[in-house]
Amino acid sequence: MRKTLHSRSKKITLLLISSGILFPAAWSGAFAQGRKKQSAPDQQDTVLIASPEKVPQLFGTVRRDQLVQSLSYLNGKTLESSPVNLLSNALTGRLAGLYSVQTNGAPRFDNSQLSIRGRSPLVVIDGVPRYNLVDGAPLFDVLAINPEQVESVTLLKDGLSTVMLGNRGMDGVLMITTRNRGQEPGSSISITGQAGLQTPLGMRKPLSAFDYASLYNEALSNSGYSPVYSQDDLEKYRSGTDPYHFPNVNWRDETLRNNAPLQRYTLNAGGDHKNVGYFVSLDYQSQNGLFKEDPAADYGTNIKFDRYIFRSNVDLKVSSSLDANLNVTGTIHDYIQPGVGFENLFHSLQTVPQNASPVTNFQGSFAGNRRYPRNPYADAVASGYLKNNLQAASATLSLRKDLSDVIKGSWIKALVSYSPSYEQKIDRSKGYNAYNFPVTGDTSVYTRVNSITDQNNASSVIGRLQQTYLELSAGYDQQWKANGLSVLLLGSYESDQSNMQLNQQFKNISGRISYSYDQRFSFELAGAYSGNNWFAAGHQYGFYPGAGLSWNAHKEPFLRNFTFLNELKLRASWARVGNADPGYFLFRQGYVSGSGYFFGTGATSAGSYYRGTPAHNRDAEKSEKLNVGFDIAYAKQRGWFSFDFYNNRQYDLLQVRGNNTGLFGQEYPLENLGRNRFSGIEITTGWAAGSGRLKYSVSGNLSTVASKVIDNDEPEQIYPWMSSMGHAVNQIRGYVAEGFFGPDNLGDASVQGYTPQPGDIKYTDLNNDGIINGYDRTVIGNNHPLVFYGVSTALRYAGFDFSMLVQGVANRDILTNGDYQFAFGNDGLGQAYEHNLNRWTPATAGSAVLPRVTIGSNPNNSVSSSLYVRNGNYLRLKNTEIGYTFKAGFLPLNTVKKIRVFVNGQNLLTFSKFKDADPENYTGLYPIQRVINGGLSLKL
Amino acid sequence: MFSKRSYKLYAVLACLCMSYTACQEAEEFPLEVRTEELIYDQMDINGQLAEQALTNLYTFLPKGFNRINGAFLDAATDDAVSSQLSGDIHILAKGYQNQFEVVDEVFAHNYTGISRANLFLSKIDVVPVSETFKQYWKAEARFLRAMFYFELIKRYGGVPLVGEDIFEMEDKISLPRNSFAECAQYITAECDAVSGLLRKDAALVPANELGRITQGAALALKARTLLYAASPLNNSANDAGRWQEAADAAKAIIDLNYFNLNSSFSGIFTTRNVKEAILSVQSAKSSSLEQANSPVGYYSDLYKSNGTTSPTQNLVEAFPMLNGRGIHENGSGYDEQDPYTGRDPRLEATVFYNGQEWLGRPVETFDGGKDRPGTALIQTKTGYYLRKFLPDLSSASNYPAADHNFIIFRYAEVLLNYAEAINEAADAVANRDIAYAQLKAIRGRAKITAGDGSLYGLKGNMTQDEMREAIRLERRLELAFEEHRFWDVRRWMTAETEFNKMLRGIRITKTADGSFSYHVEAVESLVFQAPQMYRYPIPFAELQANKALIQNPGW
Repeated sequence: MRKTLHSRSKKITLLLISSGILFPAAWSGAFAQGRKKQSAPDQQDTVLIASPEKVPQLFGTVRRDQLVQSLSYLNGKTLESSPVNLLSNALTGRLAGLYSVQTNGAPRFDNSQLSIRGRSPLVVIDGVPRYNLVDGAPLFDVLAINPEQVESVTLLKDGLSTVMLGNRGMDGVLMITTRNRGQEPGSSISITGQAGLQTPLGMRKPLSAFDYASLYNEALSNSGYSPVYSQDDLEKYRSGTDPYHFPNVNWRDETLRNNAPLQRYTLNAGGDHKNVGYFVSLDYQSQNGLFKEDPAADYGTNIKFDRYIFRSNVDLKVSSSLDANLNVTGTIHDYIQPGVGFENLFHSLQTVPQNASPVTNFQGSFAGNRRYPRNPYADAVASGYLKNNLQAASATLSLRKDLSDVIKGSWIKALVSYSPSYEQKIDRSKGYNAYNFPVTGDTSVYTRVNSITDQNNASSVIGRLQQTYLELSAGYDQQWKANGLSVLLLGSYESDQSNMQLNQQFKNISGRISYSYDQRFSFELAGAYSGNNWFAAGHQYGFYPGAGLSWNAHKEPFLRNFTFLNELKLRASWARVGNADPGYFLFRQGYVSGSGYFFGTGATSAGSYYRGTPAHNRDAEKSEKLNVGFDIAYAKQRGWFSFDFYNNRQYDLLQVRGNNTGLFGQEYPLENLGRNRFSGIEITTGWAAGSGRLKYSVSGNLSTVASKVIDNDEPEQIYPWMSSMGHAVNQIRGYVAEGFFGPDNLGDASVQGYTPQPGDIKYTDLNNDGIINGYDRTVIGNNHPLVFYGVSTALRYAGFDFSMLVQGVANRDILTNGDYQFAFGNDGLGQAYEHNLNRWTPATAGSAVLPRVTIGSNPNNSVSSSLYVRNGNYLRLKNTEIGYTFKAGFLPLNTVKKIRVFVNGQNLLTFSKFKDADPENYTGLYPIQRVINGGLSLKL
Repeated sequence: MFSKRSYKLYAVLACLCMSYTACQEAEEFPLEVRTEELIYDQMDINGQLAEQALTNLYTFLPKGFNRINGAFLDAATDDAVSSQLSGDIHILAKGYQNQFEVVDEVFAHNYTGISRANLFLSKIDVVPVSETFKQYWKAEARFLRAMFYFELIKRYGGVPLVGEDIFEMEDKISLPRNSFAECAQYITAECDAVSGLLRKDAALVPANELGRITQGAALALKARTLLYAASPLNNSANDAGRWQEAADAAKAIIDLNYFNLNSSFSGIFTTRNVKEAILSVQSAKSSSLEQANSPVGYYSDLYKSNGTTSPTQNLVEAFPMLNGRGIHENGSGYDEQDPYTGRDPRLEATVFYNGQEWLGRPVETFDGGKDRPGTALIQTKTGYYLRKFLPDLSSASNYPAADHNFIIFRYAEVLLNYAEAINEAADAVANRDIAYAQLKAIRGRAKITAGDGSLYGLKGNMTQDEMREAIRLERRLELAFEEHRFWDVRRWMTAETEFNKMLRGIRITKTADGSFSYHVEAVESLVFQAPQMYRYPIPFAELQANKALIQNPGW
């Protein structure tokens, strides 16, 4: 009986991993130990149990029972159900502590912005920190990796786990480990092909020409101007009887397709032999954009993102004591977009109203208008194209020599990594002719409002980057009876060369000592002395220490008989970590050449000016991180629960001093003045069970991030509510809206100098001085702890498998006061959307959500206020997959060991109180996509 | 074999270590950044880079034209409204200005200029340029510094005088405001000090350096500063002595006998170097002014016209007839249904009105005309567009790149300063005779007919009050859109009435027979909130950072 249960629990465990459930950090013990003894019940699952007894940590791995740090671990297999090209988009909702927000859906630029405990994590791939900044901006997304090449993803969350990075450890680390072995003994090849359709999500609906013109008239009258559209005009917009003079063009429909294809083909070969393990992968993916093309054109202009990734990871056992590992990867991005650029095109779509002009005039020429000379459709199909080519490669060689013959348990290791990358842009854009067909007068006369230009043929370098990373380490691991000792000493040097800048060097000497006793106690001490050459001498180096302790309480005699509890571990860690953000040699005093003056009649004379006070004292930002947590496993490991509490005290944050007066006459440098606090909890829990052919699991994670500005050096404020201190770091500030002015309360406090009209926003006069001004601005949003969560379920019945991820965010506020919110945007030149119809009118005074519509500047209604703060909470069915695996017996060919067919989807359903647009991407830029995808996977 | 391999491994590691330590030859800092030693080079007898530091100071000179978000500052006066529906200019024109977001905020900008001038003056002595050049350069820097102070005090009133101080990060900068009088005293003292050190006039400036500060500019700044200091806003005690000082300062420029009134009014603005211009902001030729302000109907793919500025009917009516008489005066000959015929020639040089020739066709600002189509297009709100500063393109077919230097000081202003100051200095016929002479000179140049007794339409034997009104009118017309009226009406303290009114435009209907009928209509109200708008608010952030500053009244 006991044995059956044990084996069942093991199967469940295997399922858990294979179906991508969060593997709890605490998971360890019985089943891991049993691995070696038992042959696996299912080949696939066996393969998946890659290294569960040990989890990756920086510069090595650690046995789970000795783990002191706070990590979240994810098996790479989980990510394969996500039909996305960038790894960041597959991680959303899957890991406790990892927050993501995706604000752009354009192929290649659709990465989610990730953060761990309020900071954007450093990405470490196969042990090497990946540097991708050129002039302060990322040259490419280091997470543009095919999920099928990923062995595991580990989130290093607390200070202790990253302290060995010293002045790069403050942001937390997202650690990617790529596959380096076959998935089973011997060699195997797998081929996967998949294709899907992307559909844009949550775009605002523009007003019809009639509604637009009517609202425009209303806005003009409200602003004291005469209407410009007559009743006759409006009727023509409504009826559409004169589409050349009174067009009603839905530019979205004219310019954008309903969906766009996506495809990916992967060929993986893996081997796991006695002295050699290898993983070779070739990956091609192609993603199209949403823009229409002109079938008659000579070339395509829609966004097309082709990506090729080659990866070869080889493990070589050179001798019994020498291991070599060579990882080589290369990436090519070929990217085409319309000549005006997709951002400008979406800007046009956001600007050009439905009544601006027809798409084409009756003669077939592109139509345009004085106010709107850009025709979005022509922008898409007739502005030529831009092509970007990125080449990025990386080679990492490491050698590890076991020195047990000298000192038992000791070793040394050397690692060299070299990563060049280069991107160039080929400009093949051109102008096009667009003509205005006058409303009145001689109909044979066109006015050309936009003119054709020769197609460009120019190439330019977007950026060049070269990263060199060297690492030497020595270690010692030994066990005496109940005592375990592990020592690591490491020196690293990184040199990053971008464009013409002098290289930035990170130098680091670090170490870690771990001691464990009787599988009950583990103690870890780590530290780094690390530097950066872009700081001034005296500020280049810093010391960063950390320590932690864990206690496996379930190993204590008093709990041994409590068999329901399989594991109870308590952990605590503290570390000080830093963030080196030196700027480019800003401590150097100097003069800038520029800003000249035009003397005489010839040319501008050059000018030079003092660039301002040098940042002599600029130093790394720092954070003291405390983390306490516990891990529980129960009911024969079927259930688990893991809890973390963290408190990060950040200090020396860079900011301009609060007392900055113009009298100084120079730009103030950033100084290490700010102090913030980030704290919160992270919970992971799950349950996995099953009987017979049915196996299932459910797991969930929930995280909170509470932040507080402790000190931002702001000058003393006249009123307490004017202070940002004590509130959340990304608080939204503005006026507090009470509702709208009506005819009865026009005498109440209003914006300085402004005479309110019924329908204007009425604000709370916080200081009761009868005027609404800067004294009445306060915190109006994002002042509560951010909460985000994910729930995964997985189910397997016979050959069927099913997985689902639901993910959500709560306590999130968004401030919607951009041009996408206000009708007619800038100077009356702008689009209006359906939500703008909810404006105040005398008839809708009771139900209106937006103020009366006006045109042009309105100092009362278009400023930041709580009226425009929206609940940005949402819940998404982020990912779902259904697959079926054909058993070997059914297969047509003997060489094919397995065939799996699958259908999956991304961003399938969204629930949110925010209805105007997608809650993540609400600014009217390239929409994020729903993806429905299907494919076939063969294993040879 | 094993040992051989490990030997290789150690060799590789050793090489890596060596390569790490072998980096000492590399450039440690970016040496292309110019250091102070390089800029103020003790060996460079030409002071080439030091001169660049001076050149940079010139970029802080006040600029005019469409500078407030594309609008003229004068669109916040009764002379014009902005055609645009949005923009900061409406904040000034509608009285929404406040201390939290100050429009036309130049506080830190000018102190940056002052600080850089101080830095230049403190360093330049080590550069071995010839004493003559060093004298010019230092005088130019000191003039520019004084100019920056004037830009501050005309907006904010008195501001802290920092003298020669160059602040360090460690300094606790807590400086109170000096009074307007103290600042004016500082500026005039600086002008006095440098006027003898500057080049005497533009004739002495090499052709490729035209635009440099000359003696005239220092005297003109002094004259304007003293005029402002004598004006009611800054001279509540009405000290007539101040007016006399202002008059004397203006007279000093006339006595230079170098500057004169350009024979052509419109030519002043379209010629790079005329003797009427005392100081102008030099800029490369361009057609930006044409594109920004010409009537909107002149539009093709080759040239755009955005008609940004709509001069008001109020301004148009202020222009006299060709005979110099006001349109409502008896015998003026004004016809409301033919309003532009027989007017002061400066009218057609200042505004575009219906029927004027431009780019080969008449301007059509009648309802439904090409330049007032009535559609959603941004277009004139008043029936007029701004023509001043543009060359004569009545028969051109395009906008060529043209000279558009913004004139900071010109001789006509000096004459008007002189007339105003001398008229206020004493209620005496002799003083008014001097004022008459200045007005006549300006009206004569404007090609107003001299008429009976060569009075150019001016009333004879005016009282002091009448003369004051005549001078103010002349100032409005002559200096329209040159950023004077906005400040003049403030320093006269008449803004409550002058800038608190409904502004008017003309509505022109084209009748079936092709004739036009004219109808004056209300367009937009101009709001001035007294007393606070007499001064700009000091930015709130500055008050917070420097507790010694005291905000202007009313803000």
